[in-house]
Amino acid sequence: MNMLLALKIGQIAEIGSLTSLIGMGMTFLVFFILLGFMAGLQKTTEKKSKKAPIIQNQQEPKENDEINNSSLVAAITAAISMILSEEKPQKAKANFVVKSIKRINCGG
Amino acid sequence: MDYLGLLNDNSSKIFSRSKKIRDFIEKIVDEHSFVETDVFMSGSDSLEEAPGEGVVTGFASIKDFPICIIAQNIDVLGGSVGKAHAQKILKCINRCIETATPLISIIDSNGARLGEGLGVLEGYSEIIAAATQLKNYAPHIAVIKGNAIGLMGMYAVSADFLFFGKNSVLSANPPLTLSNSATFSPQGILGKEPYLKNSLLSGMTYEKPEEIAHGISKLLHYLWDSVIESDDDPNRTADILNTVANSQNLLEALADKDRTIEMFSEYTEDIKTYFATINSIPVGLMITNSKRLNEKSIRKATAFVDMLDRYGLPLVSLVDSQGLESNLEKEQQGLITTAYELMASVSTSEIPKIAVITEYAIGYAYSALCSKATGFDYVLAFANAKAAPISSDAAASIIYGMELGKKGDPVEVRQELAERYRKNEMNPFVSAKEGYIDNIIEPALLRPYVASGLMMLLRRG
Repeated sequence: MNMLLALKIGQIAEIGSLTSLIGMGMTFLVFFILLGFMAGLQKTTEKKSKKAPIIQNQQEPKENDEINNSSLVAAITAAISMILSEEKPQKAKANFVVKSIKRINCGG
Repeated sequence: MDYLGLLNDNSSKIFSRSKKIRDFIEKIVDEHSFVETDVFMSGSDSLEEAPGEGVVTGFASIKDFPICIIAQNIDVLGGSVGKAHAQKILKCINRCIETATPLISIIDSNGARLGEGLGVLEGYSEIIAAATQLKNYAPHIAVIKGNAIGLMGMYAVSADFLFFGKNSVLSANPPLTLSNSATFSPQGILGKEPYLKNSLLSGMTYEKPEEIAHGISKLLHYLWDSVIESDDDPNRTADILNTVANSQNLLEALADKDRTIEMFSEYTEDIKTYFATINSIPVGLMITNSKRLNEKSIRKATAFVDMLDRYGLPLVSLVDSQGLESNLEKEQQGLITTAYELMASVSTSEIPKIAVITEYAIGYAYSALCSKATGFDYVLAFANAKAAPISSDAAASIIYGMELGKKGDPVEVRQELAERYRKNEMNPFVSAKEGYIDNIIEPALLRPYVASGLMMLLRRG
Protein backbone atom coordinates (compact mmCIF):
# COMPACT_ATOMS: atom_id res chain seq x y z
CA MET A 1 0.00 0.00 0.00
CA ASN A 2 2.80 2.28 0.90
CA MET A 3 4.51 1.28 -2.33
CA LEU A 4 1.40 2.13 -4.40
CA LEU A 5 1.12 5.45 -2.69
CA ALA A 6 4.65 6.10 -3.72
CA LEU A 7 3.89 5.58 -7.44
CA LYS A 8 2.59 8.20 -9.78
CA ILE A 9 -0.86 7.97 -11.25
CA GLY A 10 0.58 7.24 -14.73
CA GLN A 11 2.57 4.34 -13.41
CA ILE A 12 -0.50 2.93 -11.59
CA ALA A 13 -2.58 3.12 -14.81
CA GLU A 14 0.20 1.33 -16.72
CA ILE A 15 0.34 -1.54 -14.22
CA GLY A 16 -3.50 -1.79 -14.21
CA SER A 17 -3.71 -1.93 -18.00
CA LEU A 18 -0.99 -4.57 -18.15
CA THR A 19 -2.70 -6.75 -15.51
CA SER A 20 -6.01 -6.45 -17.39
CA LEU A 21 -4.39 -7.50 -20.65
CA ILE A 22 -2.69 -10.51 -19.07
CA GLY A 23 -6.02 -11.53 -17.42
CA MET A 24 -7.93 -11.20 -20.69
CA GLY A 25 -5.23 -13.14 -22.52
CA MET A 26 -5.44 -15.95 -19.99
CA THR A 27 -9.22 -16.04 -20.24
CA PHE A 28 -9.18 -16.30 -24.02
CA LEU A 29 -6.43 -18.90 -23.88
CA VAL A 30 -8.52 -21.12 -21.61
CA PHE A 31 -11.53 -20.46 -23.82
CA PHE A 32 -9.70 -21.63 -26.94
CA ILE A 33 -8.36 -24.71 -25.18
CA LEU A 34 -11.89 -25.62 -24.18
CA LEU A 35 -13.14 -25.03 -27.74
CA GLY A 36 -10.41 -27.28 -29.09
CA PHE A 37 -11.31 -30.02 -26.58
CA MET A 38 -15.01 -29.79 -27.46
CA ALA A 39 -14.22 -29.98 -31.20
CA GLY A 40 -12.07 -33.07 -30.62
CA LEU A 41 -14.82 -34.73 -28.62
CA GLN A 42 -17.38 -34.00 -31.33
CA LYS A 43 -15.12 -35.55 -33.96
CA THR A 44 -14.72 -38.72 -31.95
CA THR A 45 -18.51 -39.01 -31.53
CA GLU A 46 -19.04 -38.45 -35.24
CA LYS A 47 -16.52 -41.19 -36.02
CA LYS A 48 -18.34 -43.57 -33.70
CA SER A 49 -21.73 -42.63 -35.12
CA LYS A 50 -20.41 -43.24 -38.61
CA LYS A 51 -19.37 -46.77 -37.62
CA ALA A 52 -22.64 -47.48 -35.77
CA PRO A 53 -24.83 -48.30 -38.81
CA ILE A 54 -22.44 -51.08 -39.75
CA ILE A 55 -22.66 -52.57 -36.28
CA GLN A 56 -26.40 -51.98 -36.23
CA ASN A 57 -26.75 -53.88 -39.45
CA GLN A 58 -24.80 -56.78 -38.05
CA GLN A 59 -26.80 -57.01 -34.86
CA GLU A 60 -30.27 -56.30 -36.19
CA PRO A 61 -32.44 -59.40 -35.33
CA LYS A 62 -33.76 -61.30 -38.29
CA GLU A 63 -37.38 -62.42 -38.50
CA ASN A 64 -36.38 -66.01 -37.70
CA ASP A 65 -34.61 -64.88 -34.58
CA GLU A 66 -37.77 -63.10 -33.45
CA ILE A 67 -39.73 -66.28 -33.89
CA ASN A 68 -37.10 -68.23 -31.97
CA ASN A 69 -37.25 -65.74 -29.10
CA SER A 70 -41.04 -65.90 -28.99
CA SER A 71 -40.86 -69.69 -28.85
CA LEU A 72 -38.30 -69.48 -26.08
CA VAL A 73 -40.49 -67.11 -24.05
CA ALA A 74 -43.49 -69.33 -24.63
CA ALA A 75 -41.51 -72.38 -23.57
CA ILE A 76 -40.25 -70.69 -20.41
CA THR A 77 -43.75 -69.43 -19.59
CA ALA A 78 -45.13 -72.90 -20.09
CA ALA A 79 -42.43 -74.41 -17.88
CA ILE A 80 -43.11 -71.88 -15.11
CA SER A 81 -46.84 -72.49 -15.38
CA MET A 82 -46.24 -76.20 -15.16
CA ILE A 83 -44.05 -75.82 -12.07
CA LEU A 84 -46.61 -73.51 -10.49
CA SER A 85 -49.42 -75.87 -11.33
CA GLU A 86 -47.44 -78.69 -9.73
CA GLU A 87 -46.91 -76.65 -6.58
CA LYS A 88 -50.51 -75.48 -6.33
CA PRO A 89 -52.72 -78.15 -7.83
CA GLN A 90 -56.15 -77.13 -8.93
CA LYS A 91 -58.48 -77.30 -5.94
CA ALA A 92 -60.82 -80.27 -5.92
CA LYS A 93 -64.45 -79.32 -6.37
CA ALA A 94 -67.55 -81.47 -6.09
CA ASN A 95 -70.19 -81.18 -8.77
CA PHE A 96 -72.83 -80.62 -6.08
CA VAL A 97 -73.27 -78.24 -3.14
CA VAL A 98 -74.11 -79.33 0.41
CA LYS A 99 -76.34 -76.92 2.35
CA SER A 100 -75.36 -76.04 5.90
CA ILE A 101 -77.73 -77.58 8.44
CA LYS A 102 -79.32 -75.38 11.07
CA ARG A 103 -82.06 -77.73 12.25
CA ILE A 104 -83.37 -81.18 11.47
CA ASN A 105 -86.92 -81.64 10.29
CA CYS A 106 -87.77 -85.26 10.95
CA GLY A 107 -91.29 -84.85 9.64
CA GLY A 108 -94.24 -86.33 11.31
CA MET B 1 -98.14 -76.59 65.51
CA ASP B 2 -95.47 -74.53 63.86
CA TYR B 3 -95.05 -76.54 60.66
CA LEU B 4 -92.74 -74.04 59.05
CA GLY B 5 -90.55 -74.01 62.13
CA LEU B 6 -90.45 -77.82 62.14
CA LEU B 7 -89.52 -77.87 58.46
CA ASN B 8 -86.72 -75.39 59.05
CA ASP B 9 -85.43 -77.27 62.10
CA ASN B 10 -85.42 -80.65 60.38
CA SER B 11 -83.95 -79.26 57.18
CA SER B 12 -81.14 -77.49 58.96
CA LYS B 13 -80.27 -80.71 60.89
CA ILE B 14 -79.78 -82.49 57.57
CA PHE B 15 -78.25 -79.62 55.62
CA SER B 16 -75.64 -79.02 58.30
CA ARG B 17 -74.27 -82.53 57.58
CA SER B 18 -74.37 -82.22 53.79
CA LYS B 19 -72.97 -78.75 53.27
CA LYS B 20 -69.71 -79.88 51.60
CA ILE B 21 -71.36 -82.16 49.05
CA ARG B 22 -74.06 -79.58 48.28
CA ASP B 23 -71.33 -76.98 47.70
CA PHE B 24 -69.68 -79.44 45.29
CA ILE B 25 -72.97 -79.92 43.45
CA GLU B 26 -73.51 -76.16 43.22
CA LYS B 27 -70.13 -75.82 41.46
CA ILE B 28 -71.18 -78.31 38.78
CA VAL B 29 -74.75 -77.25 38.06
CA ASP B 30 -76.09 -73.91 36.80
CA GLU B 31 -76.26 -71.30 39.54
CA HIS B 32 -79.23 -71.78 41.92
CA SER B 33 -80.71 -74.51 39.68
CA PHE B 34 -80.34 -77.42 42.12
CA VAL B 35 -83.56 -78.62 43.76
CA GLU B 36 -82.98 -81.34 46.38
CA THR B 37 -85.53 -84.13 46.63
CA ASP B 38 -86.25 -86.82 49.23
CA VAL B 39 -84.47 -84.83 51.90
CA PHE B 40 -86.34 -86.68 54.66
CA MET B 41 -86.24 -90.17 53.15
CA SER B 42 -84.70 -92.33 55.88
CA GLY B 43 -84.27 -95.85 57.13
CA SER B 44 -84.33 -94.82 60.78
CA ASP B 45 -86.64 -92.90 63.07
CA SER B 46 -84.00 -90.42 64.05
CA LEU B 47 -82.84 -87.66 61.75
CA GLU B 48 -79.51 -87.49 63.55
CA GLU B 49 -78.61 -91.16 62.97
CA ALA B 50 -78.09 -90.92 59.20
CA PRO B 51 -79.13 -87.44 58.02
CA GLY B 52 -80.26 -87.66 54.40
CA GLU B 53 -79.18 -91.35 54.43
CA GLY B 54 -75.71 -90.26 53.30
CA VAL B 55 -76.81 -89.38 49.80
CA VAL B 56 -78.13 -86.17 48.26
CA THR B 57 -80.50 -86.46 45.30
CA GLY B 58 -82.37 -83.94 43.17
CA PHE B 59 -82.54 -82.23 39.81
CA ALA B 60 -80.88 -79.21 38.24
CA SER B 61 -79.50 -78.00 34.94
CA ILE B 62 -75.97 -77.95 33.52
CA LYS B 63 -75.47 -75.31 30.82
CA ASP B 64 -79.27 -75.42 30.39
CA PHE B 65 -79.42 -79.23 30.01
CA PRO B 66 -81.94 -80.59 32.56
CA ILE B 67 -80.31 -83.37 34.60
CA CYS B 68 -80.98 -85.48 37.71
CA ILE B 69 -78.22 -85.83 40.25
CA ILE B 70 -77.15 -88.35 42.88
CA ALA B 71 -74.28 -87.45 45.23
CA GLN B 72 -72.99 -89.71 47.99
CA ASN B 73 -72.14 -87.81 51.16
CA ILE B 74 -68.89 -89.05 52.73
CA ASP B 75 -69.66 -86.97 55.85
CA VAL B 76 -72.60 -89.19 56.82
CA LEU B 77 -71.57 -92.74 57.75
CA GLY B 78 -68.75 -92.53 55.20
CA GLY B 79 -71.24 -92.45 52.33
CA SER B 80 -71.90 -96.12 53.03
CA VAL B 81 -74.71 -97.87 51.22
CA GLY B 82 -77.67 -99.14 53.25
CA LYS B 83 -81.16 -100.16 52.15
CA ALA B 84 -82.63 -96.64 52.44
CA HIS B 85 -79.54 -95.13 50.78
CA ALA B 86 -80.01 -97.50 47.83
CA GLN B 87 -83.76 -96.80 47.66
CA LYS B 88 -83.10 -93.07 47.46
CA ILE B 89 -80.67 -93.63 44.55
CA LEU B 90 -83.11 -96.02 42.87
CA LYS B 91 -85.92 -93.47 43.03
CA CYS B 92 -83.73 -90.92 41.26
CA ILE B 93 -82.65 -93.38 38.54
CA ASN B 94 -86.29 -94.32 37.93
CA ARG B 95 -87.16 -90.64 37.54
CA CYS B 96 -84.48 -90.41 34.83
CA ILE B 97 -85.90 -93.46 33.07
CA GLU B 98 -89.48 -92.10 33.21
CA THR B 99 -88.53 -88.63 31.98
CA ALA B 100 -85.55 -89.57 29.78
CA THR B 101 -83.37 -87.18 31.75
CA PRO B 102 -79.56 -87.56 31.88
CA LEU B 103 -78.21 -88.73 35.25
CA ILE B 104 -75.10 -87.48 37.00
CA SER B 105 -73.85 -89.78 39.78
CA ILE B 106 -71.23 -88.41 42.19
CA ILE B 107 -69.67 -91.40 43.88
CA ASP B 108 -67.76 -91.38 47.15
CA SER B 109 -68.51 -94.32 49.41
CA ASN B 110 -66.51 -96.29 51.94
CA GLY B 111 -68.59 -99.41 51.40
CA ALA B 112 -71.73 -101.16 52.62
CA ARG B 113 -73.58 -101.05 55.95
CA LEU B 114 -72.93 -104.71 56.63
CA GLY B 115 -75.18 -104.68 59.66
CA GLU B 116 -78.18 -104.44 57.36
CA GLY B 117 -77.45 -107.91 55.96
CA LEU B 118 -78.56 -109.12 52.56
CA GLY B 119 -80.86 -106.11 52.20
CA VAL B 120 -77.75 -104.09 51.31
CA LEU B 121 -76.83 -106.46 48.50
CA GLU B 122 -80.41 -106.28 47.22
CA GLY B 123 -80.08 -102.52 47.24
CA TYR B 124 -76.85 -102.62 45.22
CA SER B 125 -78.37 -105.07 42.76
CA GLU B 126 -81.44 -102.88 42.28
CA ILE B 127 -79.45 -99.74 41.51
CA ILE B 128 -77.06 -101.54 39.14
CA ALA B 129 -79.98 -103.11 37.29
CA ALA B 130 -81.75 -99.76 37.05
CA ALA B 131 -78.57 -98.02 35.84
CA THR B 132 -78.22 -100.65 33.13
CA GLN B 133 -81.83 -100.08 32.10
CA LEU B 134 -81.22 -96.32 32.04
CA LYS B 135 -78.75 -96.86 29.18
CA ASN B 136 -81.74 -97.31 26.88
CA TYR B 137 -83.29 -93.99 27.88
CA ALA B 138 -80.73 -91.34 28.77
CA PRO B 139 -77.00 -90.74 29.22
CA HIS B 140 -75.41 -91.53 32.57
CA ILE B 141 -72.25 -89.74 33.62
CA ALA B 142 -70.42 -90.72 36.81
CA VAL B 143 -68.03 -88.58 38.81
CA ILE B 144 -65.72 -90.64 41.03
CA LYS B 145 -64.98 -88.09 43.73
CA GLY B 146 -63.38 -90.53 46.17
CA ASN B 147 -63.89 -94.27 46.50
CA ALA B 148 -65.93 -96.41 44.09
CA ILE B 149 -65.25 -99.88 45.43
CA GLY B 150 -66.93 -103.22 44.88
CA LEU B 151 -70.57 -103.05 43.79
CA MET B 152 -70.55 -99.26 43.94
CA GLY B 153 -67.61 -99.36 41.52
CA MET B 154 -69.66 -101.58 39.22
CA TYR B 155 -72.49 -99.02 39.40
CA ALA B 156 -69.92 -96.36 38.38
CA VAL B 157 -68.66 -98.27 35.34
CA SER B 158 -72.22 -98.71 34.10
CA ALA B 159 -72.03 -95.01 33.20
CA ASP B 160 -71.25 -93.80 29.68
CA PHE B 161 -68.45 -91.54 30.81
CA LEU B 162 -66.40 -91.17 34.00
CA PHE B 163 -64.75 -88.18 35.59
CA PHE B 164 -61.98 -89.14 38.00
CA GLY B 165 -60.95 -87.04 40.99
CA LYS B 166 -57.20 -86.75 41.61
CA ASN B 167 -57.10 -89.38 44.40
CA SER B 168 -60.10 -91.44 43.37
CA VAL B 169 -60.06 -95.23 43.63
CA LEU B 170 -61.99 -97.59 41.37
CA SER B 171 -61.77 -101.24 42.32
CA ALA B 172 -63.83 -104.42 42.09
CA ASN B 173 -62.37 -105.71 45.39
CA PRO B 174 -61.63 -103.85 48.61
CA PRO B 175 -58.07 -102.53 48.02
CA LEU B 176 -56.79 -103.99 51.31
CA THR B 177 -57.53 -107.51 50.04
CA LEU B 178 -55.22 -106.88 47.08
CA SER B 179 -52.05 -106.40 49.08
CA ASN B 180 -50.44 -107.75 52.25
CA SER B 181 -48.52 -104.54 52.76
CA ALA B 182 -49.69 -102.46 55.70
CA THR B 183 -48.61 -99.30 53.91
CA PHE B 184 -50.47 -100.15 50.69
CA SER B 185 -52.06 -97.05 49.19
CA PRO B 186 -54.61 -97.67 46.43
CA GLN B 187 -54.61 -94.07 45.19
CA GLY B 188 -52.90 -93.88 41.81
CA ILE B 189 -52.61 -97.68 41.54
CA LEU B 190 -56.32 -98.42 41.30
CA GLY B 191 -58.28 -95.88 39.34
CA LYS B 192 -58.17 -94.01 36.09
CA GLU B 193 -54.84 -95.16 34.62
CA PRO B 194 -55.16 -98.96 34.77
CA TYR B 195 -58.87 -99.03 34.06
CA LEU B 196 -58.87 -96.72 31.04
CA LYS B 197 -55.90 -98.59 29.55
CA ASN B 198 -57.23 -102.09 30.07
CA SER B 199 -61.00 -101.79 29.94
CA LEU B 200 -63.50 -100.06 27.74
CA LEU B 201 -64.21 -97.07 29.94
CA SER B 202 -64.22 -93.54 28.71
CA GLY B 203 -63.10 -90.95 31.17
CA MET B 204 -60.95 -88.04 32.15
CA THR B 205 -59.41 -86.56 35.29
CA TYR B 206 -60.71 -83.32 36.76
CA GLU B 207 -58.95 -80.83 39.00
CA LYS B 208 -61.89 -78.54 39.74
CA PRO B 209 -65.66 -79.22 39.78
CA GLU B 210 -66.11 -76.52 37.11
CA GLU B 211 -64.22 -78.77 34.64
CA ILE B 212 -66.86 -81.44 35.21
CA ALA B 213 -69.62 -79.01 34.23
CA HIS B 214 -67.83 -78.12 31.01
CA GLY B 215 -67.14 -81.77 30.16
CA ILE B 216 -70.70 -82.88 30.90
CA SER B 217 -72.27 -80.14 28.77
CA LYS B 218 -69.92 -81.01 25.89
CA LEU B 219 -70.84 -84.69 26.10
CA LEU B 220 -74.56 -84.00 26.40
CA HIS B 221 -74.41 -81.90 23.23
CA TYR B 222 -73.21 -84.94 21.28
CA LEU B 223 -75.43 -87.50 23.00
CA TRP B 224 -78.58 -85.42 23.34
CA ASP B 225 -78.74 -82.72 20.63
CA SER B 226 -79.82 -83.40 17.05
CA VAL B 227 -77.84 -80.42 15.77
CA ILE B 228 -74.76 -78.66 17.18
CA GLU B 229 -74.41 -75.61 14.99
CA SER B 230 -71.04 -75.17 13.30
CA ASP B 231 -69.80 -72.51 10.87
CA ASP B 232 -67.51 -74.97 9.12
CA ASP B 233 -68.39 -75.22 5.43
CA PRO B 234 -69.72 -78.69 4.55
CA ASN B 235 -68.28 -78.22 1.05
CA ARG B 236 -64.75 -77.77 2.42
CA THR B 237 -62.29 -79.93 0.49
CA ALA B 238 -58.97 -81.38 1.64
CA ASP B 239 -56.44 -81.72 -1.19
CA ILE B 240 -53.94 -83.30 1.19
CA LEU B 241 -56.04 -86.48 1.17
CA ASN B 242 -55.11 -86.95 -2.48
CA THR B 243 -51.55 -87.59 -1.30
CA VAL B 244 -51.62 -88.51 2.43
CA ALA B 245 -54.79 -90.05 3.89
CA ASN B 246 -53.67 -90.92 7.44
CA SER B 247 -56.09 -90.99 10.38
CA GLN B 248 -55.26 -87.45 11.52
CA ASN B 249 -55.72 -85.95 8.04
CA LEU B 250 -58.96 -87.86 7.60
CA LEU B 251 -60.31 -86.59 10.93
CA GLU B 252 -59.40 -82.98 10.16
CA ALA B 253 -60.80 -83.22 6.66
CA LEU B 254 -64.11 -84.75 7.69
CA ALA B 255 -65.18 -83.41 11.09
CA ASP B 256 -66.34 -79.85 11.75
CA LYS B 257 -63.49 -77.79 13.20
CA ASP B 258 -63.09 -78.05 17.01
CA ARG B 259 -65.98 -80.49 17.26
CA THR B 260 -64.53 -83.81 18.37
CA ILE B 261 -64.23 -85.80 21.59
CA GLU B 262 -62.12 -88.93 21.46
CA MET B 263 -63.68 -91.94 23.18
CA PHE B 264 -61.82 -94.95 24.64
CA SER B 265 -58.59 -93.17 23.67
CA GLU B 266 -56.34 -94.99 26.13
CA TYR B 267 -57.61 -98.51 25.39
CA THR B 268 -55.89 -98.86 22.00
CA GLU B 269 -54.64 -96.56 19.23
CA ASP B 270 -55.23 -99.19 16.53
CA ILE B 271 -58.68 -97.84 15.86
CA LYS B 272 -59.76 -94.28 16.68
CA THR B 273 -63.27 -93.47 17.87
CA TYR B 274 -64.70 -89.98 18.20
CA PHE B 275 -67.88 -88.12 18.86
CA ALA B 276 -67.84 -85.44 16.19
CA THR B 277 -70.10 -83.29 14.08
CA ILE B 278 -70.22 -83.20 10.29
CA ASN B 279 -72.22 -80.29 8.89
CA SER B 280 -73.49 -79.70 12.46
CA ILE B 281 -74.86 -83.26 12.73
CA PRO B 282 -73.50 -85.26 15.71
CA VAL B 283 -72.01 -88.57 14.57
CA GLY B 284 -69.75 -91.33 15.77
CA LEU B 285 -66.57 -91.41 13.72
CA MET B 286 -64.48 -94.57 13.59
CA ILE B 287 -61.09 -94.58 11.80
CA THR B 288 -58.85 -97.62 11.50
CA ASN B 289 -55.30 -96.74 12.49
CA SER B 290 -53.51 -100.03 11.96
CA LYS B 291 -53.21 -102.30 8.93
CA ARG B 292 -54.64 -105.26 10.88
CA LEU B 293 -57.66 -105.50 13.17
CA ASN B 294 -56.72 -107.12 16.48
CA GLU B 295 -58.72 -108.22 19.51
CA LYS B 296 -58.52 -104.86 21.27
CA SER B 297 -59.39 -102.78 18.23
CA ILE B 298 -62.39 -105.02 17.50
CA ARG B 299 -63.61 -104.81 21.12
CA LYS B 300 -63.27 -101.04 21.02
CA ALA B 301 -65.18 -100.82 17.74
CA THR B 302 -67.95 -103.04 19.13
CA ALA B 303 -68.32 -100.96 22.31
CA PHE B 304 -68.42 -97.79 20.25
CA VAL B 305 -71.05 -99.07 17.82
CA ASP B 306 -73.18 -100.23 20.78
CA MET B 307 -72.88 -96.79 22.36
CA LEU B 308 -73.86 -95.02 19.13
CA ASP B 309 -76.82 -97.34 18.75
CA ARG B 310 -78.06 -96.51 22.25
CA TYR B 311 -78.08 -92.80 21.47
CA GLY B 312 -79.13 -92.99 17.82
CA LEU B 313 -75.93 -91.39 16.56
CA PRO B 314 -75.02 -92.17 12.92
CA LEU B 315 -71.82 -94.16 12.36
CA VAL B 316 -69.19 -93.02 9.87
CA SER B 317 -66.57 -95.72 9.37
CA LEU B 318 -63.31 -94.89 7.58
CA VAL B 319 -61.53 -98.10 6.65
CA ASP B 320 -57.95 -98.87 5.72
CA SER B 321 -57.30 -102.40 6.94
CA GLN B 322 -55.95 -105.60 5.48
CA GLY B 323 -58.13 -107.72 7.74
CA LEU B 324 -57.75 -109.71 10.95
CA GLU B 325 -54.43 -110.18 12.69
CA SER B 326 -52.95 -113.62 12.28
CA ASN B 327 -51.84 -114.82 15.71
CA LEU B 328 -52.13 -118.33 17.10
CA GLU B 329 -52.27 -117.24 20.74
CA LYS B 330 -55.09 -114.80 20.04
CA GLU B 331 -56.92 -117.43 18.02
CA GLN B 332 -56.77 -119.76 21.00
CA GLN B 333 -58.05 -116.99 23.26
CA GLY B 334 -61.23 -116.66 21.21
CA LEU B 335 -60.51 -114.03 18.57
CA ILE B 336 -63.25 -115.48 16.40
CA THR B 337 -66.05 -114.72 18.90
CA THR B 338 -64.75 -111.19 19.42
CA ALA B 339 -64.70 -110.71 15.64
CA TYR B 340 -68.24 -112.03 15.33
CA GLU B 341 -69.51 -109.69 18.05
CA LEU B 342 -68.51 -106.63 16.02
CA MET B 343 -70.32 -107.91 12.96
CA ALA B 344 -73.36 -108.69 15.11
CA SER B 345 -73.35 -105.21 16.66
CA VAL B 346 -73.06 -103.49 13.29
CA SER B 347 -75.75 -105.59 11.65
CA THR B 348 -78.27 -105.30 14.52
CA SER B 349 -77.78 -101.57 15.14
CA GLU B 350 -80.52 -99.38 13.73
CA ILE B 351 -78.49 -96.23 13.22
CA PRO B 352 -77.59 -94.75 9.82
CA LYS B 353 -74.20 -96.09 8.76
CA ILE B 354 -71.78 -94.69 6.20
CA ALA B 355 -68.50 -96.37 5.22
CA VAL B 356 -65.58 -94.98 3.27
CA ILE B 357 -62.79 -97.25 2.02
CA THR B 358 -59.78 -94.96 2.22
CA GLU B 359 -57.28 -97.52 1.00
CA TYR B 360 -57.54 -101.23 1.87
CA ALA B 361 -60.66 -103.15 2.83
CA ILE B 362 -59.60 -106.76 2.75
CA GLY B 363 -61.48 -109.81 4.03
CA TYR B 364 -62.97 -109.34 7.52
CA ALA B 365 -62.26 -105.59 7.48
CA TYR B 366 -64.52 -105.23 4.44
CA SER B 367 -67.30 -107.38 5.90
CA ALA B 368 -67.33 -105.85 9.39
CA LEU B 369 -66.58 -102.21 8.64
CA CYS B 370 -68.01 -101.38 5.23
CA SER B 371 -70.19 -104.09 3.72
CA LYS B 372 -73.69 -103.10 2.64
CA ALA B 373 -74.81 -106.62 3.51
CA THR B 374 -73.64 -106.12 7.12
CA GLY B 375 -75.73 -102.98 7.35
CA PHE B 376 -73.89 -100.01 5.87
CA ASP B 377 -76.37 -97.77 4.08
CA TYR B 378 -73.97 -95.78 1.95
CA VAL B 379 -70.52 -96.97 0.90
CA LEU B 380 -67.90 -94.77 -0.71
CA ALA B 381 -64.39 -95.63 -1.88
CA PHE B 382 -61.43 -93.43 -2.65
CA ALA B 383 -60.31 -93.77 -6.25
CA ASN B 384 -57.13 -95.53 -5.08
CA ALA B 385 -59.02 -97.97 -2.79
CA LYS B 386 -58.42 -101.69 -2.87
CA ALA B 387 -61.25 -103.98 -1.76
CA ALA B 388 -60.99 -107.74 -2.08
CA PRO B 389 -61.51 -111.03 -0.22
CA ILE B 390 -57.74 -111.57 0.18
CA SER B 391 -54.53 -109.56 -0.12
CA SER B 392 -52.67 -109.47 -3.42
CA ASP B 393 -49.76 -111.49 -1.98
CA ALA B 394 -52.11 -114.20 -0.78
CA ALA B 395 -53.86 -114.15 -4.16
CA ALA B 396 -50.53 -114.71 -5.92
CA SER B 397 -50.16 -117.97 -3.97
CA ILE B 398 -53.77 -119.14 -3.89
CA ILE B 399 -55.48 -117.93 -7.04
CA TYR B 400 -52.51 -117.96 -9.40
CA GLY B 401 -50.74 -120.85 -7.68
CA MET B 402 -50.45 -122.81 -10.92
CA GLU B 403 -48.61 -119.99 -12.64
CA LEU B 404 -46.08 -119.63 -9.84
CA GLY B 405 -44.24 -122.76 -10.93
CA LYS B 406 -43.70 -121.47 -14.45
CA LYS B 407 -40.33 -120.35 -15.76
CA GLY B 408 -38.67 -117.19 -14.61
CA ASP B 409 -37.47 -115.73 -11.33
CA PRO B 410 -40.02 -116.91 -8.68
CA VAL B 411 -39.83 -113.59 -6.82
CA GLU B 412 -40.49 -111.60 -9.99
CA VAL B 413 -43.28 -113.94 -11.08
CA ARG B 414 -44.94 -113.60 -7.66
CA GLN B 415 -44.70 -109.81 -7.86
CA GLU B 416 -46.20 -109.84 -11.34
CA LEU B 417 -49.10 -112.02 -10.23
CA ALA B 418 -49.76 -109.86 -7.16
CA GLU B 419 -49.76 -106.78 -9.38
CA ARG B 420 -52.15 -108.46 -11.79
CA TYR B 421 -54.56 -109.18 -8.88
CA ARG B 422 -54.29 -105.60 -7.64
CA LYS B 423 -55.09 -104.24 -11.10
CA ASN B 424 -57.82 -106.65 -12.11
CA GLU B 425 -59.60 -107.57 -8.89
CA MET B 426 -58.86 -105.06 -6.13
CA ASN B 427 -59.66 -101.76 -7.80
CA PRO B 428 -62.89 -100.10 -6.65
CA PHE B 429 -64.39 -100.06 -10.14
CA VAL B 430 -64.84 -103.82 -9.91
CA SER B 431 -66.84 -103.44 -6.65
CA ALA B 432 -68.76 -100.45 -8.02
CA LYS B 433 -69.74 -102.46 -11.07
CA GLU B 434 -71.43 -104.97 -8.78
CA GLY B 435 -73.13 -102.20 -6.75
CA TYR B 436 -71.19 -102.95 -3.55
CA ILE B 437 -69.81 -99.42 -3.59
CA ASP B 438 -72.18 -96.51 -4.19
CA ASN B 439 -69.61 -93.93 -5.26
CA ILE B 440 -65.93 -93.80 -6.12
CA ILE B 441 -64.68 -90.39 -5.07
CA GLU B 442 -61.65 -88.14 -5.21
CA PRO B 443 -60.22 -88.31 -1.64
CA ALA B 444 -60.18 -84.50 -1.38
CA LEU B 445 -64.00 -84.52 -1.61
CA LEU B 446 -64.50 -86.77 1.43
CA ARG B 447 -66.33 -84.14 3.52
CA PRO B 448 -68.89 -82.98 0.94
CA TYR B 449 -69.70 -86.58 0.00
CA VAL B 450 -70.15 -87.76 3.61
CA ALA B 451 -72.06 -84.60 4.60
CA SER B 452 -74.48 -85.04 1.72
CA GLY B 453 -74.86 -88.74 2.52
CA LEU B 454 -75.70 -87.92 6.14
CA MET B 455 -78.41 -85.52 5.04
CA MET B 456 -79.86 -88.23 2.82
CA LEU B 457 -79.91 -90.72 5.74
CA LEU B 458 -81.08 -88.33 8.49
CA ARG B 459 -84.69 -89.40 8.44
CA ARG B 460 -83.59 -92.90 9.41
CA GLY B 461 -82.04 -91.58 12.65
